[in-house]
Amino acid sequence: MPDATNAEPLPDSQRAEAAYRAHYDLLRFIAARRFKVPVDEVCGVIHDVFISFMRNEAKVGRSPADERAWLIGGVCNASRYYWRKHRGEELPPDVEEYIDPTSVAEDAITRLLLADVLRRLPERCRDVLRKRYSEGYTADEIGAMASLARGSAKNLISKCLLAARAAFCRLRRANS
Amino acid sequence: MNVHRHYTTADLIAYLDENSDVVDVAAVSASVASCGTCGARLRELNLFARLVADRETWQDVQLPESQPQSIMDVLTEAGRIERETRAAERDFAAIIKEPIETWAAYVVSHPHALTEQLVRRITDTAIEEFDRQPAYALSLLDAADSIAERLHVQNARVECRADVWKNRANALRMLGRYDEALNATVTAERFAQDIATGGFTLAQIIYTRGTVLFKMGSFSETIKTARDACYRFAEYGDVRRVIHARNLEAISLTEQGDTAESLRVYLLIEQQLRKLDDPMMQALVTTNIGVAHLRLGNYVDARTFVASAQAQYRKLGSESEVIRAEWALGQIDLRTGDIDVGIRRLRNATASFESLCMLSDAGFVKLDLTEELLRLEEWDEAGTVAGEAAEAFARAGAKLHLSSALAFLREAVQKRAATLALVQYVRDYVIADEPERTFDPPSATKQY
Repeated sequence: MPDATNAEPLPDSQRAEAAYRAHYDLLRFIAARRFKVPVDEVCGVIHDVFISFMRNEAKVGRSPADERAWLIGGVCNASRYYWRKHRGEELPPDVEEYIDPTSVAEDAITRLLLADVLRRLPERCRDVLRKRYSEGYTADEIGAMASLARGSAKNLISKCLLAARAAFCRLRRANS
Repeated sequence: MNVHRHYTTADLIAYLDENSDVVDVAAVSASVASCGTCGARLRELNLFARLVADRETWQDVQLPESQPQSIMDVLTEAGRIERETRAAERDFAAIIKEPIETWAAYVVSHPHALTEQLVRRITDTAIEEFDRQPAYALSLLDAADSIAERLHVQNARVECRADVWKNRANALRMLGRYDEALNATVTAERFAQDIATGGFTLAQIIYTRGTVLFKMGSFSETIKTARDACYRFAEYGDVRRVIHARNLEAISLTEQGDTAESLRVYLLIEQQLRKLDDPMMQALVTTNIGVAHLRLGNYVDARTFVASAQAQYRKLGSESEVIRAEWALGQIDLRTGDIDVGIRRLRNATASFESLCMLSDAGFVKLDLTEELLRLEEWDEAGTVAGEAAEAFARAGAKLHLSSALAFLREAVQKRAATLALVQYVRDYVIADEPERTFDPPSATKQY
């Protein structure tokens, strides 16, 4: 994901484009994951927000952090509108409650980075982590599935988590 | 001597999984309990492992990767806005020479001029005129709305009209037409709720409604509304507008008599303001701190802050706020015994408000003057000023219920039967401005 916080402010003509490239993935994740907007509808929601961003350009702070916060607020509100308009139902409490754009962004960036890291791990390592941590298999069970002795299975689990953690830290440093 | 060796990340991960082939689990357990560094790293690793364990994480892994971003329609829109903005400048230069009533006809006969950006250009000009000529600003906004309602693209039409009606509310508030201003916010809200991207405009509309409610003296409603606006602006990370909303909350607290709480809020605002370049807000908060001191009877501090605010407003060219500061300085003079100076300041303030057609504000200053003249037992002059106050409110469009109250006060002063409490009674009634509540003169048994 491009660095969204350290760039110099750009002239108006390039501002929307730069903001789009910097924040699209983050906004997409927030709309899809936090507000559960269907993936194929997310792009439309985000584009509406960007057009509104251009209309309100003069009212949005010039720093990249201000822009990101404004766009997150825009996506949150547009996603709520999506719920009201297209689902015709009461908004779930977690969709309706006010958000803090900074913590929403931090949480989303962490999750995006982690998903990216896990996606790029060797398949065997990814499977081991999913089975051990998400699905709750024991080291013995994982060993049996992979024809490994208990000790080797435990070592494999530790190594995979260590590799994931190292890749996550590298990526986070690159994005900070 | 035992020297503690910090555990490696690999050791700590093995410990988390109780992998005794790699680490001595019991030794690590004892060590992390006594070593802050190892303990902190273990907590961080634990957090990471919990994130890996989270089912949502694995759903994120399954999410299709971001499609190639179809940025073209956003860029096309950016290009359209830029072209329209340049064209709107030319069209605006053409229509500004013509009477406002003809502008809507102009866009009919020049269809290329019928654009969202022309509406925004007119609206921006209206905003610049709020302070100097609110009646003119309102005419501009009426023209902007009549153009906006002809826009072909639904989203642009609705978003523009939401913005125009929000600003109509501001202009009507400046003109003292509070009921109409409140209704304008309702119309604006309806437009803003009709589009996916109306959230930010809606936050501004709610804030505007708060400013109207404040003017109407509905302070607890103002506080509720200001807090709502504050949360909404916070969602957009808009610190500047959050501060404006909190300031509105604080001035309402002051009006409710909770001066200590309002000062607490001002102090928080002031801290935030230091990080921003917002001289107008700085001046406003300075004024409000001055007013809070005035309420608390700290007249020296009050004068210092209000005079400083007035100088800041003068630099900013905000005439109406310079006058308001003059009004506040006059009140401080009166409280500290500089009666002549105070009365002179209040007279200056009324004349200046009238020259800006801010007749309600002029009326309120005249009520203050009436009160002071009664205190001095200058009955003839008080009678004249009470009459002028009634006239100012009438010219501002005051309805029958307010006119009755002000006429009652004028007659009472002229008959030398008025008291300071009666002035306050009438002032409160005028601030509340509730047409359904007819004016009941205070009972004879009550001391007015």
